Amino acid sequence: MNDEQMQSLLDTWYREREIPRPKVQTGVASVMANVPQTRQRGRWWPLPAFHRKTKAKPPTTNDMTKYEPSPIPATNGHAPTVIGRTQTMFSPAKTIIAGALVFGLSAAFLVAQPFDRLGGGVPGAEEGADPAAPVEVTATFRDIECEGYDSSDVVGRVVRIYGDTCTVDNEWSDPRLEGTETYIDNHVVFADSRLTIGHYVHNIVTDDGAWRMRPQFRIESSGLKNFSGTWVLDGEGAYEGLSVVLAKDELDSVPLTGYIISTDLLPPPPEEGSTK
Amino acid sequence: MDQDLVVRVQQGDQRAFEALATADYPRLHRVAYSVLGDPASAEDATQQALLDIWRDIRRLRDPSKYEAWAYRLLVRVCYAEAKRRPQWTSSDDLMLADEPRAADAYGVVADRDQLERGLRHLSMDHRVVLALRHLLGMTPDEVAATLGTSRWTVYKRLRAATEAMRAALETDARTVTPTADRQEALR
Repeated sequence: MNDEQMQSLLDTWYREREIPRPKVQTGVASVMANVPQTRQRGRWWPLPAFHRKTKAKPPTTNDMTKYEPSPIPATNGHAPTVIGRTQTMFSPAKTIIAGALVFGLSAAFLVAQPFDRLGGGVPGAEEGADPAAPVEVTATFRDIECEGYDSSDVVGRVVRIYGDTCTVDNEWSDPRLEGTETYIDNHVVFADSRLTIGHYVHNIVTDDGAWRMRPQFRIESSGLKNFSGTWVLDGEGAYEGLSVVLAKDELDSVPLTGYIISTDLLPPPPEEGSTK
Repeated sequence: MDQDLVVRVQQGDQRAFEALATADYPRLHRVAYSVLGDPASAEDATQQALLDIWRDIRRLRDPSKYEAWAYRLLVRVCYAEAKRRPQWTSSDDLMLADEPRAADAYGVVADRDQLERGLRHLSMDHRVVLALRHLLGMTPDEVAATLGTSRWTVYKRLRAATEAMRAALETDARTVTPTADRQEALR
């Protein structure tokens, strides 16, 4: 049974499913018995909510002297009578003053910038900055589109899904990470114990290179939720020698947060058999 | 939903609330039963949700959003109810009393009993997203807004829940009709 058939089956089943008839009268009576003792809570914000006002309706009468400014009159082939301003709003003096103000403000901001950052705002991204300094990055989730998976099979009470592929749209604080993001997941679902264990990667391909994620395990169950841990993406192409280390939020509801760091500075895994 | 009724309830009109509760009770109960799977728990959750609606309805700024807001309160109550009664106690007698229907359009053994069994094995999070998506027909964005989580989380829960339901169907189907390979292996 493919995805579409399964969705359709669930739709039908949920809508036609026979459930015990609710005891509406006794239920409502029980609720109403408690209503007098239940005080209604007010709004925490005492003032009325601000709503955008609807636009005022244009005049519907032909007496144009009554309303100013007037709507665009119907010309019927004649030149329209312009009511209101007939002179240009351009003023050379005001333009010069505005230009001087903008120039002055820009100069003030330039002078106020710390001297150690004049060579480039993003450490590690431009010449002159400390290449070893980690650069903080964040990503805010915007959207996800999923294409389906390559294969699935059932062994006993276990379902295996391979190549579950989605395209993810994140908004990154660092332009080097803006690109096409692909999330690929292989996972098993243990139907009896409500447990899902997955192994996934999240890659980013940009115009100048790519960021490849080191495969990560995930686990989901009714008690555990989804602790996705830490992502490490290694740069390729223009980003060779750089890695991104990101903390993955449990519920995806806060931005991904982490650092771009030189790959050489990432500590290696402890040696096998080491006791210290 | 009659928005005037909602406005009257916001003004503290108990008669209006009785009318609102009577109209809402069946649909709220249907969602609660789909999530909790137990008639008594569903009744309790529906009644508690209605009381919460009465208590908090003045905080609802836009009466046209009453339905989505009411479902959000109901889901919150269902989570609390599930904590209080952690066991899925679906009434097998009630479910199995009806004769199974004829095979569906796909010609598979996906009958109601198998789906009921599959649903019983799902976690609370998964039952909630399935009910909101398939029973109420909400979009993933609407489900996310109702649960206060991201669309990605909703998507993942829906995928896992659907796969678990499919597992229930396919494993039962295999139990009934072993494949040729398995028949060969048994010889």
